Amino acid sequence: MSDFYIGWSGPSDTSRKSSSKFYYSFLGLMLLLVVLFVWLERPFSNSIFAYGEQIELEGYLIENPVIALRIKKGDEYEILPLLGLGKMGPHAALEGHLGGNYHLKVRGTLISHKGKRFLELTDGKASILASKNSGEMDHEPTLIGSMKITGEIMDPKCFFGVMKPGYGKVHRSCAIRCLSGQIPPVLAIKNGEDFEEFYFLTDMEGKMLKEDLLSYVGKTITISGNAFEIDSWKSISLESLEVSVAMPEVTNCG
Amino acid sequence: MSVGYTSILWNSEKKRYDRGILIFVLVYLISFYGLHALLHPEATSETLLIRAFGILAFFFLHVILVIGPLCRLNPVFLPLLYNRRHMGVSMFIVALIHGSFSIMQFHGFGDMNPIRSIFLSNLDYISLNEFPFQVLGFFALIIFGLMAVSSHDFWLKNLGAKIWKMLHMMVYVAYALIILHVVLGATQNDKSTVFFMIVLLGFVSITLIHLVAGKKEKKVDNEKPIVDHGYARVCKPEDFEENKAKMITCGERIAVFKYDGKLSAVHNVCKHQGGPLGEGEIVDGCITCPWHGYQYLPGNGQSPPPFNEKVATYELKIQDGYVWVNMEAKAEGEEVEPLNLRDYE
Repeated sequence: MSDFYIGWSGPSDTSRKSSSKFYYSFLGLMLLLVVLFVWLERPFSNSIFAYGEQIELEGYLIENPVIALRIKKGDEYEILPLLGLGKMGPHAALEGHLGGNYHLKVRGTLISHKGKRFLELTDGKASILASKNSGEMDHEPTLIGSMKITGEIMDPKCFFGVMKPGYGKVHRSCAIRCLSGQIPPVLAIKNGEDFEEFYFLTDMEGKMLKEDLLSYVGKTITISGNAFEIDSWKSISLESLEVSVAMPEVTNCG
Repeated sequence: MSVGYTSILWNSEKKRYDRGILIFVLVYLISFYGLHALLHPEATSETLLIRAFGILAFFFLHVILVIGPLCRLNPVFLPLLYNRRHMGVSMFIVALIHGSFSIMQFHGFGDMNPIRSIFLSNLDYISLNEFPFQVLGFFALIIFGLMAVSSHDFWLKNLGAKIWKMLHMMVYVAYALIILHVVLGATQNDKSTVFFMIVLLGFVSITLIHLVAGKKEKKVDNEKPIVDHGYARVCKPEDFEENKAKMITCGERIAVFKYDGKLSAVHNVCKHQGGPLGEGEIVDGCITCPWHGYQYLPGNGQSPPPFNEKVATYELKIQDGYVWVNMEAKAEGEEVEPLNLRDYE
């Protein structure tokens, strides 16, 4: 009998054997690729986006260098930047509160990594549980000095929790959307293989930058400007910026 | 082959094929997620989903592209070809999951429509290194989508074999887009060059196997037959195998079949998907296409009733101990008296 294969008439023993052989060969090859892929894959960060677990926090609302809660912790303060839902800043959720001096009690989803914390105001305006007028907060940043820093501009919401990875070329479009949506830009500096030092990027007046930086997001760039320290964060006011091919570095010029 | 159109004409082999695809996907996903749970427990489910389905679609695309030339080189691969369109549709669904989640993850929930964002977020279109690779994947997905929705015989019949084939040859454009999508995107995420090398190996393998299969085809087409008064010399009668064909190229490819001591010649191209009838066999008195089993009566090139596909027929003669075929085709489905070899014994 001919071994000529006709699909609709059902397979012959020969075609059944040969197709099984190919099937298991392809399956084996696929599994080998999976093992290789997972083995060589770049490790994932241990950043946390506490999805579905909202917490309540209280603090003074500040707007520079980024919109944040300034939370008193004993003798120290923590700057907890606020974020909106998705790829948006907190502006809509804080409508009516920006431009004033407020002490807020808010509810949101915590994002944390490398000792830095952010809070997503997940429920929009409903995230503001209580607000009261307060005196003006003394949160003047301390000048560190003039600096020239090489690093990557990224959106902190993704890097510090929501996305893995939240940096580099693959993530670039997402970071552009986040910054366009008024999530504050962060310059991340590598120390060896990992990003270890972070600066909020501001204009010369210390206010958050966004649109001007979109074409530089996800690229290695060198920034010059005055660096400041404000509680648990640092910021740098942008004086000049250039796309760099050099390895990331920090040079203190001041 | 069908008279009317039903969603899918199931048979045991198609079910077996689809079961195989489903089991393949499940085994793959279990392995992918299982290994990540062991080695990368910090990974997020969205990232794993995007990667798992992206890799699977990429692998399926290679398998789909390799089946055609493998079958041209050796008919033993034909069972893989039989229901390839279901693998194609499966690949599209897998790619769609990858694409949809990627668009949602990277472009959704922001201040711009996600589809607009694919094109307008990263504007480095003139930079090779920084090129917005997601645009390439998006266009490839559109092509796969068009192929998937038009894969049914309804569209083959209504678009016509030529347009349908052209549309489905777009898979090579999509493959080029996907290669660039991966090389300019995912492979840049990791410092290891192993992933890039695997992509390169896949591309080289696909290219080589197509070249080898193409060379074999070209060899058939380059064999110029001896022509005399509009007839092309095929071979000696004793060179034929029973129920099989000899092929000859004289402008068009013609398949000359031997069966029951007779010879008949038809146009080599199956009306269904352009399969090579000359690589088929006579089964139950009908020329049977090796690709999907479409059948034609050798005497008139017509599919047996109630089917209505027709291929052109050719006159044959024996002269000087050789079989000769008239290079001018008869109308599709026109009856031609078979050449009775017994008359020449």
